[in-house]
Amino acid sequence: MNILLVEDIETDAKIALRAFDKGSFKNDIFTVRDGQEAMDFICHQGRYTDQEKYPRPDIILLDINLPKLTGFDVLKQLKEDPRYNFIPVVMLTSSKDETAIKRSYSCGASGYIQKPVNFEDYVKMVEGFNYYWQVVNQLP
Amino acid sequence: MEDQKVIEELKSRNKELQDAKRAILNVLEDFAEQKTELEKVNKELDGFVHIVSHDLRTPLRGISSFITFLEEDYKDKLGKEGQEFIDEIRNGADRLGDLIDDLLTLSRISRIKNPYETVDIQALIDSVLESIKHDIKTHRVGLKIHDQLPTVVCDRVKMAQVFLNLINNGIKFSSKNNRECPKIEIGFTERSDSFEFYVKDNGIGIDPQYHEQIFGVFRRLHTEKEFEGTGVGLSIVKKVIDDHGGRIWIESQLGQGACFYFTVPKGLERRVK
Repeated sequence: MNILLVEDIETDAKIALRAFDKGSFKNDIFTVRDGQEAMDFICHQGRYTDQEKYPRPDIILLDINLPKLTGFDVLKQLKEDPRYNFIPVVMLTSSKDETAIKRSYSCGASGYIQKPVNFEDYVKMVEGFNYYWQVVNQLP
Repeated sequence: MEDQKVIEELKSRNKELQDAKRAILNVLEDFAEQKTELEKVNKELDGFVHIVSHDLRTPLRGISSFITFLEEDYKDKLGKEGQEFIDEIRNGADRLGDLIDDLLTLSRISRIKNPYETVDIQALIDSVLESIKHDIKTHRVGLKIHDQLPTVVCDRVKMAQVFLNLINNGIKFSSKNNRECPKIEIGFTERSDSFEFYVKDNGIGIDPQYHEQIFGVFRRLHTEKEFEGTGVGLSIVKKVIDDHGGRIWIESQLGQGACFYFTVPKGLERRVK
């Protein structure tokens, strides 16, 4: 399972990568820093044309407050495009704002996770995430 | 001649009354404007607290996580003092995390308006107790709940928060009572225009000079070491009760437990939130 992590804050990206490593996630995680770069990666455009090096992600972890295109912009574009609308997108954000949660699901998100503040909780979250997406759930 | 005088007098009084009426209307208009302005400022302030609290979580996550990484990767090189420093930083980060969470709860309570609905208070308290059953068991809390609690019209989610905070408060301040286990009693009295509930504990009690202060945000009467908490719980309770148009107060003496009373007015189904 390949994951694309869309995260603009470097500290948060490092924490997520370490949590995935600790949570025994053995597959590839690609990290991009803004919404436009995420679209380039998924659509194999810009500097991401090499499809072998940058395979289509099986699942996308998407922050909401991103430069250039926001998480909602990316989500909306993906869900409106039949070439990519089947890729599960899970929002991964600091906010637990009710409006953002509803908006994410109504735009087609497959999940909404609030980033835990405590690292041990982050690792537990990753373990739960892995179990759900790799064991319980069938990916397209 | 006499009639003319009376008429003149009446005219003069009438003019005075008209002037007074105009003045009152002006004052009312000013009040309405000030109320609208205050509501706007309050709304902005709530939004500000909400945004700031969210934004604070990001750097806090960095501090909290990288302290863990430092501990994991350099544990051998840290020494005893180094480990103590790390524990202090972690305690500080945890406390900041609690403050942010409580601020967010307070802000959410202000921002979110749930519809009033008919709520079975007995069932509501059962669900609250279910959510804290672990604490109740751990602290061996004795519960005495009135067996015929009423059905009232209120905001279900927020009223659950009221009972949760008051019960948690009761457990917290009774749990260090060396003489006996914590005891929480919940009951009510039906008044002509409201339901008056109470949540009573056998805890350390509160000196009457602090009875008003305890409802303020971040007001604490004890150190973190004595009793953990941020001092937001009772502010949330007061905010909810105020929003319902009710009243909250405490009856307590130091060392003799505390009893929190609050009212929920009747007829809320007719009120538009």
